[in-house]
Amino acid sequence: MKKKFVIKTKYLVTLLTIVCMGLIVLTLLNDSFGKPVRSAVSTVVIPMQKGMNQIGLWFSDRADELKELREIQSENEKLKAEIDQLRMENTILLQQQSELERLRELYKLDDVYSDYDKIAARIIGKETGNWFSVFTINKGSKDGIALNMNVIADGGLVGIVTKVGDNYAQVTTIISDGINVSAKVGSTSDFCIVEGDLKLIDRGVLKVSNIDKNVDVKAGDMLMTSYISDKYVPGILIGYLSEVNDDPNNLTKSGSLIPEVDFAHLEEVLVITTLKDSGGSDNK
Amino acid sequence: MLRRFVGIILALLIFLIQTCFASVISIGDITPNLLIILVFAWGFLNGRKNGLLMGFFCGLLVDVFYGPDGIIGMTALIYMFVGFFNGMLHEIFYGDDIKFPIVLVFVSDFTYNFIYYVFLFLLRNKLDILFYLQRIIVPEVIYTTIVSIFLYKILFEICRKIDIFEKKHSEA
Repeated sequence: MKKKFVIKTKYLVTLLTIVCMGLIVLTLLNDSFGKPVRSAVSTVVIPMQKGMNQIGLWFSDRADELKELREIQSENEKLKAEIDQLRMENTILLQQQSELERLRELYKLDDVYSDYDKIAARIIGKETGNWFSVFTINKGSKDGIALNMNVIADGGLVGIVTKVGDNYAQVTTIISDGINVSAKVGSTSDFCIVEGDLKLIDRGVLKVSNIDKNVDVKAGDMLMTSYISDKYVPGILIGYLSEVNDDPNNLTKSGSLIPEVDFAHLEEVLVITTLKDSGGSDNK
Repeated sequence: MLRRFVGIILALLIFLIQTCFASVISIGDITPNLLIILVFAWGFLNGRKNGLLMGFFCGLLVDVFYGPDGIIGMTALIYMFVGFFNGMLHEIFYGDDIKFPIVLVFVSDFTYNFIYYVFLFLLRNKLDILFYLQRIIVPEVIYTTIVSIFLYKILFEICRKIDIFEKKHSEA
């Protein structure tokens, strides 16, 4: 008679419950605890995710090619005409640019926004639930991605890197519920807080709060990341104010903001490799 | 042994489908929760212990990649009990009829989302439960239930094949 070692189910339930509870407590207390588990699982799963992504892309590419060939031909004609016009405009702009540079030098302003180094990455996965807006990209610490790096697309802020593995990184978008970004109003340089809210994102807007009551802001004003944030590098466009109202406390104003990025159709993003140096916080 | 192996393959496959093809399978920004269908079905068709392990494995997979605020273990804990409680019904019901499993998927996914809401939103002072119910929970639960009609059939066939195979194997 062979006798196998089998754990009884009721003990297994207790055991696994304790394991889960322990993991929850440990990861709550110290985020780095989850790292070995994460890297072990990700070495197996991420290559598969990438492969799946490749297959999906291949199919959609083939479908697009057929459809686009005709469109491209007509578009080509149009674009050629446009190029001529743009060339003309370009020469004018170049003249203005050189003028601007001279003036900048004069005022010793540095053009921070274009100075940031960026890495392009492709989105390969999305979180499994519907509660938050989190996605995975195909670049990780091997490619130079680190925690808290800012992610942009279409010239606007997308989010921030919240988890990094060897070959992948996870980005939490600014439209995620509970994510706060310190912002400033472009025209007046006053500070406010941009906050993702699940309730508002259906209307395509984010919440803006803590604008000083005396500040003259109006719908259409540009909001960008401010320099007092400890995670977001300054000067990245977030979006445009769509409405502003006085708060009941009569001290501040709040409103909503239309983000610059089209979050529903993101495929590729740029990761800014310049980290915000905030002195106090640890970037490791 | 074969059952465990097939289970792991299925869990990985469904996890990949859910994360990579989210934009393809989602309707109106709502993605069905395929993993919970798998966890439920595995428990319901294979018994408590299998359901428990499957729930733990799938939940851990989700937590490692998309655990809220980097917390590992919460989804695993919920999924584990989803698999376990559905597994208790394995001895009482036979999984051939589709109507009862649909109700179970409905209850499972609703419970999962409700617990999720309580711990990650209610405790952050987001009290408007009615909004979250109609914006996230109900659409997801309904969509998941509809998908489960098809997915359950497939999983049922797979489990039956394994049953037949194991029976032959033990007799031989």
